[in-house]
Amino acid sequence: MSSEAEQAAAPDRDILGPIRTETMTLNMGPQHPSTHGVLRVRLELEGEMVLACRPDIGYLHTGFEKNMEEKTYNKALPMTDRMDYLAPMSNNLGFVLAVERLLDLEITRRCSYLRVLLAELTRIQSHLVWLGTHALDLGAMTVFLYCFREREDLLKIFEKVAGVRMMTSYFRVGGVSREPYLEFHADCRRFLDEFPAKMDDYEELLTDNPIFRGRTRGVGAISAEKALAHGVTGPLLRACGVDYDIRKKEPYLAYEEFDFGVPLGETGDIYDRYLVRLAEMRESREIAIQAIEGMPEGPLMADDPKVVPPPKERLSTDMEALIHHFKIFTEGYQVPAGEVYQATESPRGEIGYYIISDGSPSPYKVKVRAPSFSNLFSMAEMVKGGMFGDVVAALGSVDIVLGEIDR
Amino acid sequence: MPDETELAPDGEESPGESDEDLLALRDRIGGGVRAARLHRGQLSVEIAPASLEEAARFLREERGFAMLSFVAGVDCLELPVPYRFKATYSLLDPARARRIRLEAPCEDDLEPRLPSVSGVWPGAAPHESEAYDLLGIVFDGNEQLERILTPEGFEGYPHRKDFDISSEPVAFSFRDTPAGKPEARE
Repeated sequence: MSSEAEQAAAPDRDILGPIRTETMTLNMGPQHPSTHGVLRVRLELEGEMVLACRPDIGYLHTGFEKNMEEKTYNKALPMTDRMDYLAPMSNNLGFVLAVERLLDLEITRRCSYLRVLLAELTRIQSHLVWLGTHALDLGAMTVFLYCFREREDLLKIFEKVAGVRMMTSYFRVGGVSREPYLEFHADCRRFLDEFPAKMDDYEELLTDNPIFRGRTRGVGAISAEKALAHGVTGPLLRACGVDYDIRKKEPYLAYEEFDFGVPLGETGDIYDRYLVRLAEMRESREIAIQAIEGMPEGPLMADDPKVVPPPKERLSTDMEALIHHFKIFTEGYQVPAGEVYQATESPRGEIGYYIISDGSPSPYKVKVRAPSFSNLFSMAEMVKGGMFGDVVAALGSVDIVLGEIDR
Repeated sequence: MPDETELAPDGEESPGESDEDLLALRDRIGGGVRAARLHRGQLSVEIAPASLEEAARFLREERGFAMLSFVAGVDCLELPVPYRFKATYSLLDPARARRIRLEAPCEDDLEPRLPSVSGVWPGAAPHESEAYDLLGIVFDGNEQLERILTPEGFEGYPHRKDFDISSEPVAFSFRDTPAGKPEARE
């Protein structure tokens, strides 16, 4: 101890000597508040400039996909919530659509509209978390509190619809788990009517804020070509100006019947990602309103007694219903052999389920194409040549959820 | 396997012979295309591993498949196919909103290897690392290949069908405790 202190105090210490020029390797995480989970990033720095960046993942790996192979399709579904816990309904949606495709099962129009409505509310909810935490990373705390206040309203609606705030598992193969409650539309309407004024508040705090602009404009940009080559999807890709939204280009559910715009950026920097996501929230609100107004009448669940459980009240009077109910919940249903890949647009980008069925009641193989996975690894391109201080800003702008990256 | 095979399970639609991407691919790599299937409207093409890189480069540069959506390793142990491991590549052409899947079976069942496509789509590298980590498929030419998901020192490949999941190894082995494992108290 004393020798170190002596050395430091020595008057002839060579502080103005030749500057060491070798690069430095810096370890960020895995426990770091700005990594939004458990992520380690290895950085190679030259002074304050980032030469290379390599994310190190796997701290939350729990083997969801392997686990699904041992479960029936219905039991595998709740695992999808837990991957992207900020957008559970979007994850449910990808899975049920893939299984319905394997089964060649047609869902009702009312169910499509209900799923669209809830998927868009999920998008708003997920973008709110992103906006709040991203602004917090950049030093704007008020936005965080505002966003979580609005998110709470949405979670309350989800809780009333599905019984659970976050892990909803509401979408089921062939339909949804239950009828929405009576005032569901009114609650959604109230939220959607009040929401634009709230959005104006966020924009007032950030859009022209010189500190926010200084930290985001021209920072962490990625070109459209590189973004495509790295498999970047979602708002990140659209911020580069690539007009690719799966809802528009490969419509699923009833998205082709909705009128909405696809916000695009130009430069692909962090500020553009912010603008794109904010505009997306307004578009999602439009879609949700259209879904409420155009909600068709009719049955909610698909007409396939082998897959869709019968209504509870029929169980005590109808022998056949009882048998179906028993079989669905004990051995599940057989899914014809084959493989499909179903891509959907989650708040973070393309979430896809690649499912191989061998004809048994549980999937032979499930591979989840998580949007954050590819997006995270493209971060190396975003921060290369930039300043070390911008790494946190770039990471926040990617909007990662490590649950779905590690699975 | 020569190129006449159609690995079509029951109830398959006939492969879209009129599909222009498939025809172009057949023109280009000929016998490298082993089979093609159309299932639920989705086209998947089985490619010989030796032709994989050429097929990938052709599809990206001349057919517009600018994006590789994912790479998935599959253990086909319980499936009716003559090989054990395959890798599935899902490609997207954003201009035409078209998807196509390539499947490359590994020739060696014991030491599965495939050429890497990370030179064609840089985004393939982490996906290949994942398949390597979970299934043990080695992707030649991927310089970043590493076990990215499992903990350091993990043994075995958990997504293989013969991976033992009946018990979980306990991380506390009491190896370093001189007295060994303490006796359980009644």
